[in-house]
Amino acid sequence: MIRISLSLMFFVFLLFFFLDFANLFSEHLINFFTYIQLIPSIIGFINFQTPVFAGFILIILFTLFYGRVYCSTICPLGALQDIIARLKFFFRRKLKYKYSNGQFVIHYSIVVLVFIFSVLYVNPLLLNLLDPYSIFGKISHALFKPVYIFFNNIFVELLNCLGIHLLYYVDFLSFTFISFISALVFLIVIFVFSFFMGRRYCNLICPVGGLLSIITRLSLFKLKITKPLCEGCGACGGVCKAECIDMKNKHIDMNRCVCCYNCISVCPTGAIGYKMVLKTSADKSVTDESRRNFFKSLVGFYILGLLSANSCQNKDRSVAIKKNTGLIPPGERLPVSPPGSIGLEHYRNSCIACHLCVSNCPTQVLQPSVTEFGLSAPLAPRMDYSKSFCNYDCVVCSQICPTGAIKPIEPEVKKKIQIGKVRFVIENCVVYVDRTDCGACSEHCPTKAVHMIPFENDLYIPEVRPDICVGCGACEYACPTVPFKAIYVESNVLHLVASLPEKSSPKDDAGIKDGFPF
Amino acid sequence: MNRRNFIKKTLGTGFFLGTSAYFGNLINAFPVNQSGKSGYNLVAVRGGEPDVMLDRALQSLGGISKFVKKNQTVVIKPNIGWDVVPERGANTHPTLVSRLVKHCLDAGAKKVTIFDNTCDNWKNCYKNSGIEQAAKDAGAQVVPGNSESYYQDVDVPKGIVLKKAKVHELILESDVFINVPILKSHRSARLTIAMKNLMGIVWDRRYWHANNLHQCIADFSTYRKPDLNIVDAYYVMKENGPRGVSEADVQKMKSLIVSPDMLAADVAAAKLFGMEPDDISYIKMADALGVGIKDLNKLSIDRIII
Repeated sequence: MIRISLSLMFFVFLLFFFLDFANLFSEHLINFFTYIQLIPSIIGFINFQTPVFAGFILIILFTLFYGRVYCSTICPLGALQDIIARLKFFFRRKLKYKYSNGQFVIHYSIVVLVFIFSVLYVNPLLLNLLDPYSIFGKISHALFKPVYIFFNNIFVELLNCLGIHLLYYVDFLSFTFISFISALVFLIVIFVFSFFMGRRYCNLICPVGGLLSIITRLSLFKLKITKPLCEGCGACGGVCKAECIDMKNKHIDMNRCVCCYNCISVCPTGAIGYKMVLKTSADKSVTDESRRNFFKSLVGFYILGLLSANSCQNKDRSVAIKKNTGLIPPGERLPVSPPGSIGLEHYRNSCIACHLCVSNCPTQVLQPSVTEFGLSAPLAPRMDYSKSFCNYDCVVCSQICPTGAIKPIEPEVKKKIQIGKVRFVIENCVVYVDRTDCGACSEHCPTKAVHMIPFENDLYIPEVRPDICVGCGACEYACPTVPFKAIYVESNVLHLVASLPEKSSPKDDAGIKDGFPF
Repeated sequence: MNRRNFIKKTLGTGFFLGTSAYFGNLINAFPVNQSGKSGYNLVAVRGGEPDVMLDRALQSLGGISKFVKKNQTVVIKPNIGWDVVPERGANTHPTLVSRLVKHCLDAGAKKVTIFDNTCDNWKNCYKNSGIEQAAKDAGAQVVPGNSESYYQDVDVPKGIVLKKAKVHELILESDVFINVPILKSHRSARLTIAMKNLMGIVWDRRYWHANNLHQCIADFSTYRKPDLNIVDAYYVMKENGPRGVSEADVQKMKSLIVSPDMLAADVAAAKLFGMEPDDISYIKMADALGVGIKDLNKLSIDRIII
């Protein structure tokens, strides 16, 4: 029961973080729940080596003691799978699972593949596609959030009709075909797996499940069936969604166990419980020595990899900068990455596209990309100035990003980060073409990097000062010209420091006694 | 609007259907030019706090009850365009708004609502301008203007360039419309005062910018003239408008201009700012469209120094 309520708590909170459009939750609460999401935490730690991203150590310690507690308690995708499995109640009365053989070769191969790809080649593509937290985020944002907003808007209409304006409409700006379809594919895959095969996804594909499974081989406590107490009723095997209880040998395959503890609660004689396992008393009946050694070396390899990851990554990044930038023909616009993301390389190497920032961005300027950031970071959020612009004082995305792809920054720091530079195309400008006043760009500019200077016939025309531009995109958003904007933000491959805007000379209070000039 | 109407009907209140039929007449129910009556039709106040100046101005005009009758619904449109604090002079002063709300409620208004179609993120604007809290505390309903679904298509029959607009439903639904702009510099419009403030009750502002901004401002000011215009000139942004860069852009002018005539209010405010009204195209254009009285000599002005 405790396990289920904890799991539901993680699921419900994380779900609401992805649904919420009103920034109802403080970033501390969000961080509390994302802190111990394994993959984001590891990526963050590799990048910054601070306790802010050390949550994964807790998970590994947990696993070293009790097995894959993560899978049934913390993982939101695990909870989603359990919920889908419960849907079976509507079709068949019973949730009945049967023991199946583990497919460790495939599963661990995936883990190794993910490891090689993401750590040695610094390409988070597979994590982007396979990390359960990221998948959950994509599904929640692209599929559940529109529904949530839809109901909100209906509710708002009802209230408005009654003259109550407590709630407000939200326009869901981030509907893109690609993010919708990909989330749908993820959901269908997860649905099929969990509906028909329990936690097969966790034990066949999920790289987190695989990694924890490997660690579990070293765990101190394991679930065991106490043979004298067991009556062989098979109840435990029927409720085991990991399908890892072998009734013939009265053995629980801990490497696949997702620690849901259904077996413990269903066992009529209380025969199942944690037992301390000393490494020397290896259970020869299941694992032979050579296999064990193989896995031991695998674990060693993994940990070694993690330790050396940082140096590897830095080397690979310098290579990657040349490779990727060389591919883009001149004139093509690079995507703009959010403030705090250091630059395109850091961003595309660290973002696994969970879309938590997209969900929480107050202005909705953060939108899922397609492959603008390259094939390593499909769906990574980009600054979409056709939809909105970045609030000058806002740092929400940086505060909640679980991987550190957007590193935490304070508002005063943000005001000096230049994520892109303003470019003015006079031939597109209303003032130049139509000879009428416009100035929408300059109005919106928080630093006056776009300001108006005298032009013909008492008109004013924009002039840009890229040095004090922060790249917020307000000018581009506000510019009314179609199809191409007269003013836009050109991405900085590496974020730069913007000079602070100059203050005008202070003004004395007006002389009140002067009366009125009319 | 079908979905909305459907819900309204199913709710069976019939309330808004009734009132919407009633609007058509109400739009012109309050004559803008009150020169036929005794008393002032423009009041300028200097030297007080925003609430004190408002009290004096309304008193001089014969009280808010001249504009707000018992059981009427009132919509107040301040300038809440930017995510900055009151001292930056980018938004209407919250004290002024809250005092006005109180006046309306004291006069027996059934409901007072406040909104703006902001430029920066609306929730931040509402909050950091101080207006949301001040208005709520005074008893008003603060309504969002952030979604196109609040806006309804209207015709602007007298418009030269701007023939159609999408206007916030509160403007269509409310009996009384009070415009509470702030006076500040604005490089493209030259100054933003009362007529320019009406850009915040429409949805698609890009069209205005792309199609002769000044003419669109003048055109739209023929659509529904506010029943009362209260120009906040307490903190006046003298440069870098309309958003401003720092408090150094602001001059403390401690002034207020109140008039039922939108054009007259703009002319007086422009002079107060130190600009010639004739240098502002939309003022000339609005004059040509007969929006109000441009020649201040034709008005009866009460000048109050506190």
